[in-house]
Amino acid sequence: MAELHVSILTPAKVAGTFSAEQVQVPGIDGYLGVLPGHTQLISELGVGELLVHTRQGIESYFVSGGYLDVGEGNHVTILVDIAEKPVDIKVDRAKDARQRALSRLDDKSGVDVLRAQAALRRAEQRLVVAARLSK
Amino acid sequence: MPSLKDIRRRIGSVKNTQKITRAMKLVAAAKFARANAAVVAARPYGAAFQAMVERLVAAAGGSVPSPLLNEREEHKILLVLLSTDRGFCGGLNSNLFKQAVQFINAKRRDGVQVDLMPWGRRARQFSAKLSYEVQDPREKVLDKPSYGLAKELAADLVHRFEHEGYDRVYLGFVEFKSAMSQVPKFAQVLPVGKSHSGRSHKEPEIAFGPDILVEPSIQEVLEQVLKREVAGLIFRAMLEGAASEHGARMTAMDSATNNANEVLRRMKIQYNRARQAAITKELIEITSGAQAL
Repeated sequence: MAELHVSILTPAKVAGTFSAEQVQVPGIDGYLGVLPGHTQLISELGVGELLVHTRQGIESYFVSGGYLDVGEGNHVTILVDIAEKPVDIKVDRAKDARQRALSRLDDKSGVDVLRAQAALRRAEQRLVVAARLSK
Repeated sequence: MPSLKDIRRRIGSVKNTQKITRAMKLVAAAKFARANAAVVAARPYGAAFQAMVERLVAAAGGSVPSPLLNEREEHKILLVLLSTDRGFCGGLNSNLFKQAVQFINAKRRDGVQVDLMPWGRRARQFSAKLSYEVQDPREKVLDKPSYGLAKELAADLVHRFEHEGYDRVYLGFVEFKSAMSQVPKFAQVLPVGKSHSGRSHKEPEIAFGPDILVEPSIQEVLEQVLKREVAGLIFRAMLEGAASEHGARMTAMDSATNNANEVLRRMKIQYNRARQAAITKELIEITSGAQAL
């Protein structure tokens, strides 16, 4: 079976390259899966968990802000501002960030609600990805 | 002729200076290695991003109306100068500023108003000396290049481009060639388009654009992508500037250390001569004293 050539790139470095059977990315309106032979696609990505299904198992990343570029020849390029593996996520910091965002949303006094919501989402998704480690 | 004691003191002081320059060289070398690795590590993203933009533009069929692509005549421009905060890096900053003066003068001859935006303490000092309009100076931009900062700065520039009547925004930075060679460069940041390899986005129209799905829509994605391209350009300039800084400092401190060796060698000769002269003088005094008896 044909395989996907996946590269996960951030502005600062190459976060990972894989030969994969399937990739699941957090699109802006929900998750979408890419299988070999996918049509060419460029999509904006949201905040969430990126899953790469390789023959050895599933690789998980927390990603935020970027694009998915599916090109010819099963090349899948994921260009994101942030890509973190479960081991690199600082759980305490994410928990703190979640608390801060929640309390900011609670008092509602002229805070930037959209920003607080985005921060909350990032923190929660980070925790979801980090939780893979303990499984 | 300086006394023996004077020369000895000067030799000591040069040796101390040399210790400092040698230490700075070692520190710069370590930082340079890191900065250089960062430049290399950032390349795949840049290349992949470029490829994506090209595919997007092709998919849009050549017509991409966006305010960020809007070329207009130059009346008022913003020149961002990205410099280091600290000196001791040879002619790195002064070369950049020399070229900046030329750049500004050429623009002013054409009747264009040039505002400066210094990023870095040296650029700030430089612009303070000139009587130009200076916008929002910043420092420590090259300290720790981060994409987060680049994004913030890019958003600021886009805002100024769209709302403060700047027809173009240029970024002056030092392009990194090698540890020995760094070249000042002035890149057009906004409107987007000329920054990559001199090509414009408006390429000959392809009758049938390649069949690419774009989510959520080509217009929305393109708008965001262009903003990100600005951030990417700034980020790259930051990485290259940092690598240039450490490379230049390493080279400058290396030659300073070598120069100190040369100075030391000459002073040691002088010291030996002075010592020999003193001995000869004493001998003459003794022998002539003995003769007098």
